[in-house]
Amino acid sequence: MSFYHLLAFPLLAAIGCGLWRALRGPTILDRMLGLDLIVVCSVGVALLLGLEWGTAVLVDWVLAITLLGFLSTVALTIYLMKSEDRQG
Amino acid sequence: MTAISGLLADVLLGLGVLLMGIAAIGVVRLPDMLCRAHAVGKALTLGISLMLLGAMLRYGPAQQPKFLLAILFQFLTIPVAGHLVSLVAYRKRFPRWRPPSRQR
Repeated sequence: MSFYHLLAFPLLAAIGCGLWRALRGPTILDRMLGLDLIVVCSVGVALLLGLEWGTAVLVDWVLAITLLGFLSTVALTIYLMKSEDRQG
Repeated sequence: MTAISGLLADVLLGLGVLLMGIAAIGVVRLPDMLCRAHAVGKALTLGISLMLLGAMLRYGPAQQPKFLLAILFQFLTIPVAGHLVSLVAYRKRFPRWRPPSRQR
């Protein structure tokens, strides 16, 4: 078990925390924050996986996953801004 | 030289994982949506940037511009996303947490 394996366990625990928040969150924005946490932690896991395998291909995946997470957040935000109902 | 940079890369990776764990604890434990956005927007940005910096030290100079671009993307996207989510919560009057001393 190498150092990168040891570093991956807290990241998987963080993904579990984000999943718990995304399933349980009282409002839709809590779910969105949980999914944001999952996206960034999966970027970290991909980084550790690339270091373990010794390839640099996964850096492109890092860029793609980051932009996808940001676009999904912006799309949901615009949708919520345009809707008329008041949450809460 | 290379041993020192490898050690520095490991330390940066460990610090990044620590900060991301702190962000996860904040997302689970904090009472309010705005507080959770605060945890995500700061600790998560710094954590993933430190991890990318450590990996950049590991890979060497050939991959360096791609990693710098990735760090720039993290610093551009995560705080902006957190700010947008907080803006929706403020405009649409989502429920907010009050300290117990100020509750009526």
